Amino acid sequence: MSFMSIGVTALNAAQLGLLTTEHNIANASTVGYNRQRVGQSANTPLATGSGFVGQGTQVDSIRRVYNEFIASQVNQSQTTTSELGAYYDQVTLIDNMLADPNAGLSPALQDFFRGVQTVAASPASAPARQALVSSAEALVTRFQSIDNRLSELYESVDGQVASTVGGINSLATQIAEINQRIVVAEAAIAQPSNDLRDQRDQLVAELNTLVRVSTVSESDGSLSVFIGNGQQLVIGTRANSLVAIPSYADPERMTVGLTNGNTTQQIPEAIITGGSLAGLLRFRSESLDQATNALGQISASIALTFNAQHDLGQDLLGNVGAANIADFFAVSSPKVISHQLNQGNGEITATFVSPPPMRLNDGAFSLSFNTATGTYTVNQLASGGGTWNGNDLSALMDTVETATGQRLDMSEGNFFTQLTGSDYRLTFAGGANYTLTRLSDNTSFGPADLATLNSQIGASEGFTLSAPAGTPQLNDSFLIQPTREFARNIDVNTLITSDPRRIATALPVLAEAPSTNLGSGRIAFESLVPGAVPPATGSPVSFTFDAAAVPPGFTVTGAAGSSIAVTTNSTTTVFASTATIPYTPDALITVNGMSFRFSGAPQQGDRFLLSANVNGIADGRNALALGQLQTQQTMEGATTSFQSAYGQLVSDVGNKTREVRVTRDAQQKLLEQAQAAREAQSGVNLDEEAANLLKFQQAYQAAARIMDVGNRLFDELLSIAR
Amino acid sequence: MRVSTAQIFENATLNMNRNQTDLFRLQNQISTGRRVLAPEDDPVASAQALVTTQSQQVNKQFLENQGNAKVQLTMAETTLDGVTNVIQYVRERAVQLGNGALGDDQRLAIATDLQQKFDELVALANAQNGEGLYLFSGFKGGTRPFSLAGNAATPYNVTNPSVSFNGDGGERVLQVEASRQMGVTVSGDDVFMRLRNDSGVNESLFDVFQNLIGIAQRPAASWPGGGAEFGQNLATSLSQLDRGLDNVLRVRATVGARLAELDSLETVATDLDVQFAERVSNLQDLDYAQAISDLTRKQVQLQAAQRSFVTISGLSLFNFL
Repeated sequence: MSFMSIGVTALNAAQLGLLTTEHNIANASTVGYNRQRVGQSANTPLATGSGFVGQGTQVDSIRRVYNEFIASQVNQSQTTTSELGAYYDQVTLIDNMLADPNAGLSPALQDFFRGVQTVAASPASAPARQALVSSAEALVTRFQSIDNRLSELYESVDGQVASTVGGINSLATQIAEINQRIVVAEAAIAQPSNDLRDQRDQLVAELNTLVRVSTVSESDGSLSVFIGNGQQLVIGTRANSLVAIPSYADPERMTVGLTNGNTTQQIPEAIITGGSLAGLLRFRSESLDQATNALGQISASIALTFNAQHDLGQDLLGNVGAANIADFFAVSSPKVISHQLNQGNGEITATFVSPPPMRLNDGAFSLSFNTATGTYTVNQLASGGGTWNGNDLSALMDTVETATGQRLDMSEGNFFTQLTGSDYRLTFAGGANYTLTRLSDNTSFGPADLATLNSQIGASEGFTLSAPAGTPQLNDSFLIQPTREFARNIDVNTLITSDPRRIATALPVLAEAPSTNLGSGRIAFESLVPGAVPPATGSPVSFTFDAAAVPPGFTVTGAAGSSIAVTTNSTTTVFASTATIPYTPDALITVNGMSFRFSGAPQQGDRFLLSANVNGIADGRNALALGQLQTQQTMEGATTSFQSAYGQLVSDVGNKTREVRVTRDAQQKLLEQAQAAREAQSGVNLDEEAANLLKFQQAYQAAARIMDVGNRLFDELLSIAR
Repeated sequence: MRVSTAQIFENATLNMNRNQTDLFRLQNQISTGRRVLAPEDDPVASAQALVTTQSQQVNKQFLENQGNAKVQLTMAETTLDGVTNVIQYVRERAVQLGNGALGDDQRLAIATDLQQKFDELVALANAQNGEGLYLFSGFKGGTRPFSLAGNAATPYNVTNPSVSFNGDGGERVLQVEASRQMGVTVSGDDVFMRLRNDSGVNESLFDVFQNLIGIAQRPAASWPGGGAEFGQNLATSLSQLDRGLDNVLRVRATVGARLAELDSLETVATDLDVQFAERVSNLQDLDYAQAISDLTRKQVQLQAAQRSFVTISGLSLFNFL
C-alpha cells in the first residue's frame, strides 16, 4: 500500500507546484505581487527492523518570497521621492514665472523708472506725466498679476491637500478592511494569506506616496499604521480619518487634522513628513510663503520709499508739504490675524513706518522722522550702534557728531525700508506686555509693552503695532504678515491717475541770488529731508554777507528760532539764527531740514535766498531723486536695490527648485535601486517559471509512473494468487 | 543577480523616457537660443542676468538723457552765439558813434539800428525750446523771463532797470550718468543781468544797450561838458559792452565744456552698452556647437536603447515550449 500512498503525496506536491507556477505566471504583471514558492519536506519515515522507510513528501506551506526590510526600503524611498516630486511640480511653476522675460517683474520695473526719467527731463510735459502714470499702472498690474498667480497656487495647494487627505482616508479604510479579512482567514487555517498580504502591502506602499507612515505588525496578522510622530491612522480593523481644516493660526489656509471619534485635532505641519502631502505643505511654508512675502516686500519698499520722496516735492499745481502732496501709490496696512483659539477679545493692528528712514553717510546712519511728534531719530546702522532723538535736526547733527566722531552728511541720502520677508507672531505675555517673534529665524523681541516694542521693531523691522480694542488673555497670539498681501493691494493713487499734474516733480525750495549781488558768491541747493519747512511764498530765508564781521559771514533773516548747522570738512557747528554764520566755502549748511552750500567770493551786502519755488514748472529735481531710487540701496536696511532684491528672489526660488530637483533625482535613483532589489528577490521571471513548469510537469509524470508501478506490482500479486 | 520580467520592461521604458526628456530639453534650448530656460538651470546666472539687464537699461536711459541734454545745451549755445553776434555788432556801431564827423541825424539813424538790436537781444533772451519752455527763465519754465520795465532812463541800472527779470535762479538738471547730474540750462540772471559798472552798481546787458541808445539819441549840443563828456559816456558803454561780451563768452565756455563732457560720456556709455549686452549673452545664451553635438549624442543613445529593447524583449523560453 505504501507504494500508492507515496505516489499520491508526490502527485499532490507536483500538482501544487504546477498550480503555484501558473499563479506566478498569471500575476507576472500584477503590481505589488510577490512570487510564491511551495515549501516541501519529506514525511516522517516509518521505523522498521530494516531501518527507516521513507513515506513520501508533504507540502508544508505556500509562501511568498518577501523581504520586509527591502519592502520598507522601497517605501521609505518612495515616500521621499513623492514628497520631492510634489514639491518640485509646484515650485517649478513659480520658477518659470519669475524669470520669464515677459511675465516677470523686471521689464515693468524698468519701464516704470524709465517713465520717471522721462518726466524728470520734461517735468512740464503733460504727455510725459501721462506716460509715467501709465507705466506706474503697468507696474502695479504686474505686481497684482504675479501675486494672483501665487494666490492661485495657494488655492491649488488647498485643493490638493483636501484631495490627498481623501486618498489617505480611502487607503486607510481599505487597509483596515483587509486587516479584518487577514485576521479571519489566517485564524481559520494557520497559514499566511499571501495574496491578501500582498494587497495590503501594496496599499501601504500607495499610502506612502501620499504621506510617510510607519507600521507595526500585530500578532493576529493585522497591521497598524501611524503617521507623523505616532498619530494612529489604522489600529487593527479600525481606521481614523484625516480632515482638511482651516489652520487655527491662519484660517485662510487649509491644513490637516486627525479625527478620532468625535474630536478633531490639528496636526502640526512640521511633523507631517514624506509623500505628496508633506511635499505640498513644505512647498507652501517654504517656497510659496517666501516668494509671496518677498514680492510684497519689494512692492512695499517701492511704494513706501517712492511715496516718501514724492511727499518732499512740489506738484505742478504748486502744492507743497506731505499733507498736501498726494501719495503716488495707494498702499495697504500689514495683515494681522487673531489665532482661532484666542481666549480674549484683544485686537492688534500693525502700521508701516512711514515715511521710512533715510540712508545717510553711505549706509552708516539712518535718519527717521516721526510725522506725529515731529521727532527726528538718528540710528547708527552698524550692529550695536547708538540711537539719538531730537526735534531740532541741526542740534541733533551736532549731538551725533559729538557721540560718534562722524559728521552726518545731509547732502545725499535716500529712503529705504527695514521690512523683512518674514511673518511674525505676537503673543500676549500678561500685564501690558507682548512678545514678538520673527518666524523666519525665531528672533524674539520683548516681552515688553507695545510702546517699548515699537521703538525697537520700528527701527529694525519696518512696522509698528497698536492694540486699539479688547482685552487679550495670557498666551493669546496674533499672526502678523507685513508684506503678504501688499503686492495684491498696491495701486496708483486715483488722485494721481485722475490728474497727473499732481505728480510732485519739483522741489519746494529754490536757492538763488538776486541781480543786485556784486560778488561771485553762489548758493547751491543740495537736499531736504522729511519734516523740512520750506519757505512760504514771499518769505524767503535770506543770508546777507557781512564782510566786516570777524570772521566774515552771513546774517540770517526769515529763520527766527531755527538753529543752523554748518558742516565743514572737519566739524559740525550749530549756530542760533541770530548769530553771524561764518563763511566757509562749500561747507554744508542745514536750516529747517534744508541743506545747501555757499561758494565763490561774495561781497559786502550780497544776499542769498532760499525761497519758495513759485511757478517752478520746469523743475524736475524731485523726479530725478525719484528716478535714482531705482539703483539706490532701498531695501533690507539699505543693503540692496529693488532689482537686486528681485534678483535675489529669482535666485532663491531657482536654487530651491534646483535643490529639490537634484535631491528628487538622487532619491529616484535610490528608489530604483530598492525596487530592483525587491524585484530581484520577489519579482516573477517568466523564464524561471517556464523552467519550473517543466520541472513540476516532469515531477507529476514521475509520480504518476509511481502509481502505475504500484498498480502493476499489485496486479502481479493478484496473478500469483489466481 | 536575478531579474524579474517586469523589471526588464520597466527599466527599458525608464531609460528611453530619460533620453527623451534630455532630447526635449536640448531641442527647447536650441529653438530658443537660451542655455538658461528657467532660473533652476542656473540660479546665479539668472539673478545676474536680471541685474545686468537693469544696468543695461539704466545705461540706455543715461544715453537717452545725454542726447536730451545735448539738444538743450546746443539750443542754449546757439542762442548765446546769437547774443554774441548782437553784442559784437552793437560794439561796432558804438565805435562808429565815436566818429566826431557824425551829425545828430546820423547818430539817430544808428540809434534806430541799435533799438532793432535791442529788440533782437530781448527776443534771444526770451527764446523758447521745443516744448515751449523759456531757455533762460530757470525753473519758471512757463514765465517769460525778460520784460520791459517801463522805467525812464536816468540812466538804467539794477535799481532802475530797463528790462526786468521774471525768471528764477533755478538750473534744470538731467541725470546723464549714475553719479553725474548735469545742468542743461543757464540762468538768465547770470547771462544778462549782472554786469558790474565802474560805479559799483550792476547793469543788465539791456541797460547797457539802452544807455548806449540814449547816448546816440542825445543831440551833441545838449552835452554839458561838450565832446569830453560824450566821449566819456561812450567809453563807459564800450567797456560795459566788453564786459557783457566777456560774460556771455564765459557762460558759453561752461556750456561748451558740458557739451564736450557729454561727448566723452556718450563714448563710455556706448561701450558699456556693448559690454552689458555681451555679459547678458554670456550669462544665458546657448553654446550652439556644444548643444548640437549633445543632441546628436543623445539621439544615438536613444536609438540604441530602442533597438536593444526590441531584441531583448523578444527572448523567452516560452518561444521554445
